[in-house]
Amino acid sequence: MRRLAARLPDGVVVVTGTNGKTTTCRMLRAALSDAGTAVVANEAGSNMAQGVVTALVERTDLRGRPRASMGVFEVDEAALDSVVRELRPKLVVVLNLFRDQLDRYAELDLLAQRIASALSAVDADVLLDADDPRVAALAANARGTVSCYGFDGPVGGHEAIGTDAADRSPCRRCGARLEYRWLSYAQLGGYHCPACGLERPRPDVALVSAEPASGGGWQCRLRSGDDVVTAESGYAGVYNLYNLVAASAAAHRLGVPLGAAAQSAGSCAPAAGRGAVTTVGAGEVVLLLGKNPTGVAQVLQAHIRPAPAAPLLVVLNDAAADGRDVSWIYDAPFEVLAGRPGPVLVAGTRTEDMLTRLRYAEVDARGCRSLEDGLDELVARLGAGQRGFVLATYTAAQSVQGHLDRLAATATSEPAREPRTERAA
Amino acid sequence: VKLRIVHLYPRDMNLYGDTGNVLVLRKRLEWRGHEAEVVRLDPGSDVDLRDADVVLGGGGSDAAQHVVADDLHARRDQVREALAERVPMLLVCGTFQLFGTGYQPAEGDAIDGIGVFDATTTASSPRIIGRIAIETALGRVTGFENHGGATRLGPDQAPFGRVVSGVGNGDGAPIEGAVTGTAIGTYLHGPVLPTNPALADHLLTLAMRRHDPQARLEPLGDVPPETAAQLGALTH
Repeated sequence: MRRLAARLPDGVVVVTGTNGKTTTCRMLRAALSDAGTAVVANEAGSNMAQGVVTALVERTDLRGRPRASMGVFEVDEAALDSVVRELRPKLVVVLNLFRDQLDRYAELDLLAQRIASALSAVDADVLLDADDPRVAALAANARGTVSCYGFDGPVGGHEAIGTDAADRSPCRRCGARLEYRWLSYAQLGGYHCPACGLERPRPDVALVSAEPASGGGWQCRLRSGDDVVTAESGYAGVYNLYNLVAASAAAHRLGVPLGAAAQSAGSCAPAAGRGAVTTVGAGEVVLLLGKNPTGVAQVLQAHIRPAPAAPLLVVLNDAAADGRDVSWIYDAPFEVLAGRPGPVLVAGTRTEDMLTRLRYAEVDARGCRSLEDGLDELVARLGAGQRGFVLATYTAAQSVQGHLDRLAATATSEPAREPRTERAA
Repeated sequence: VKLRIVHLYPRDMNLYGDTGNVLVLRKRLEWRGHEAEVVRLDPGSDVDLRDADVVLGGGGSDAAQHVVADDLHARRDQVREALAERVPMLLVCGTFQLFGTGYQPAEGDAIDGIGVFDATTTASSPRIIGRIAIETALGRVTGFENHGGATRLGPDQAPFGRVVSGVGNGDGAPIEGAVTGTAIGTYLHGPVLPTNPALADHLLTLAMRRHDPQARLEPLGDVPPETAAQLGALTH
């Protein structure tokens, strides 16, 4: 991995954090590609060492020369330490730290310590989310130049659901409880310490404002320093605004003008399982990954609650890559699903647990015999042009995409045709 | 009847869906036509545990345990008096450890417990992680254990259950948790109450009997009648 990565003339960028790695990498790759840089990247979610090596090998010719000039890799938070020692990135982007797969990662503070140790092991510049106090505190561990991104204030017209204090961290300087002047969601926002006066660092690149656009995206203003640019993003959800600002800030850091970076980032097609739409049967299906409380809260808010009549399938798996502990479903606000027409369909290896969760959320739900049965029923319920949603954990999303692709292929007259995939509104 | 559910340290000790236990007690009361008042007790709160009808506590990081330990010590008499009044308590993971005699983390100072249970915890490695089933006086109870502490019970301390599969307290004996009076300490996450309705109804039966000693819960169809007849009996 080290030798292949070292041959990339423009170096390597690594993106880590709990939520948004895949989308941020996709946006960053679009911004760099549109600016003329040939990028090698690992595909959606293959973010352990093996996925990085696979991507590098695939983009290296028989003489060992890379067919790209820069690498953009998403790296699992827990694998970061070993991977950055090999990749020697010139820039590491840390997005956010939420509770996720606690059976693997134990506690957030321990995870932050591991990332700190990874940052202190390499001569990389670091780009941090200023709005996440645990991430902003990593500035102390960077050996290269530190810059940060964030919001300049709350995004108007959105009411955060499922936000509680559970992921909040104490002041890194004095240990007191941080207070928030405004909150985006979870622990992301404009915090300060009332005891010692610690302030959130001022973002170098920030979202100045965002207005909801027709079709579910945003009309955004971003700034670098005090220079303001505008951009449109097709990605719904406040969480995707963070991904947009992170990718734009990273591209800007790598020499792309901010306005062009943001426009490229906001207009690229979403990755599989991150809001991509598959046309199947009479309608279309949007597949959304939901694998931790904060992610599910954001996805419910951005995509599923605005479509109260849309059929929904929830798939809960507990394979190692999903996290074997499914207790997190009680920290996710499934209550917002109450009152939808027709039962919410449930599938996956932990169908019973999800049915119990939905029972206590007073949501009308029904278990399916298999994931395939669930998808078939979801598709059968779709009226002409109607959109249905699948909310799935990591391994479940892979199986769902596979079955959707088969359904889409058999639905067309040309069996070999690729399923049509486009951005979710 | 209106019952008061006190959620102990929700701000600091709510790591693994522990809030699901609160939800289950509230819904099971509401579904039976009773009222439930959920009261959050964070450090410094003026909520008095002696006014609780049922107390729930969850898990937290080592740092969080340090944060709440002083407050819990200040409430030691409240806890003892509430237990003397047969207030049911379910104390999961980190709160179980703090209700024991003490916890020695892997790094840093030991944290004194309040000694409701004769149970001493020391950090151990590797973490105990996986699904667990135990046999208790209320029948089979299942959950997910995820803890980095090994807990040793004193010779006269009753466990919560006998381990059927999984690890349990982690000091070598196949036992899990601890029971003292109406207090149950356990490592079972999951959270434990949604998938173990008999345990939920046991806590609610004890809570109802604070107001009416003859109280019986209406069946909700998910607890076998022979188990339902035993609810409230699991105390030492």
